[in-house]
Amino acid sequence: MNYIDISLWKLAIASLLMIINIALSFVFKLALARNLIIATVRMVSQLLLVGLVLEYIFKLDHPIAVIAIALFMAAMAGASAVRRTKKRYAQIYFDSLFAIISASFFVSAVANRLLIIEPWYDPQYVIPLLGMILGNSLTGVSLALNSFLNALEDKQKQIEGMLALGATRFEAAHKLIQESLSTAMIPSINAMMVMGIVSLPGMMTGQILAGAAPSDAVRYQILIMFMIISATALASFAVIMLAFRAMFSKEHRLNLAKLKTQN
Amino acid sequence: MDKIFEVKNIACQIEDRMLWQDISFSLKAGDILALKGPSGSGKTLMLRTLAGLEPIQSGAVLYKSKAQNDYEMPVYRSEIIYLQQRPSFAAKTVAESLKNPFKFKVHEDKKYDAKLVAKYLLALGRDLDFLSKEIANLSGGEEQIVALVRALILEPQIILLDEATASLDEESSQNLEQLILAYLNQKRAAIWISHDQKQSERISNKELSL
Repeated sequence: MNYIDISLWKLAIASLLMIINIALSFVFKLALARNLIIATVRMVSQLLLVGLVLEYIFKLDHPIAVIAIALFMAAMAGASAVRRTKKRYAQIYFDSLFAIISASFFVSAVANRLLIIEPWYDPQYVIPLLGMILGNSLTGVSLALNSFLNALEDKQKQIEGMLALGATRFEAAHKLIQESLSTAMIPSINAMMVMGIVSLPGMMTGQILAGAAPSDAVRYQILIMFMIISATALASFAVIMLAFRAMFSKEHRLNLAKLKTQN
Repeated sequence: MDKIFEVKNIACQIEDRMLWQDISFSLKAGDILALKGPSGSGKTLMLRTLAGLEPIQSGAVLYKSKAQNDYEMPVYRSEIIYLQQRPSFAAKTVAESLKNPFKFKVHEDKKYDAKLVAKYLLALGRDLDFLSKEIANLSGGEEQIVALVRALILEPQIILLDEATASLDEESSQNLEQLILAYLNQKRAAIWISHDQKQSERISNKELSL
């Protein structure tokens, strides 16, 4: 392929860019150095590790290995989405996992057949596509959960007021479901609004750097945006409905005692 | 006369504290039960339980001889309406707040009756301009008026009132009592939490102390 190799010593020099900032922080007491160092070290080691794992998986080139790593990635995304929430109920991890895995796998499967990836498990396509979907679904699911569960507590009186007048649990929660879904989708919708004008998306940039024709890279980017948005919407909607079922009993009762605030 | 509402041996425990137990009573058409007890004795919790907003921990609650648990809860709650101590509204104006519940499936065969609303508002000393007021600008007493009218136009058989006149002046408070008595009209029943001893004596024919 036609791109410039990056050797380790080039990376080492590039890391000087970080060191400039760390030094600035020390000199001007900006209190940024500590977090910057930790984040830099984490980023480098995580990426190097992932590089090794991916090389290994690419070499194995076996469907089970690809599915295993896909499940692992989705599970990490599901758990991270919950870790960003302040209020949780007992089966929240399960709900988040279920929402993210089913939405991301469904969308991946559709895209897979559309691109006619051969063999279907080709890690060169499957893993990066899934990774991008998961990153966005994770944000959507955590925003959705945060918004829905916080609103349940803030609007308890309003919800119970409606229930007391004969509303079903869905009628009473409908507005919250709507608002939470919209909150979850705001980053994705905003990203689409300015894409190509304010920002050049990372994947497209990457493909162009790797030598792809810009028009090809654009088509990939459009496809991946469709995948990302639809997976984010599906996962967010699924997780809100699961949280709704967990928090409202079949007797149309709001069960706030199930909600525990994390410290 | 027939009992329309019956409570058998219900109890309520929170963590390891028994709030109330062995509570039994029944209501016939026209009954108004005054529910009494010091603050923290669980009066609100009792009304919430009777409205099905809290699970019945033990014992049974029967409406028209059928257990609460055997009802579709929205149907049960359309007949037995609980008025929160401090009402809440999702809509912006008074009129919208009154109309909103008619969108619920359980009320789909009922119609918003503007004449009835006007009649009730008049009885509570409010004219039709009141309908266009914004909820955010209402006083606590006015909120209670909206909440009561909103409940009455849904024609419940039993009304559970949690300090329904707490924020009202003496005159408005008596107007509200008169309206409720006229509404019950010896055909329906109510349970009323009131800290006003005189009010309790005026309106109730039964009482229960927690």
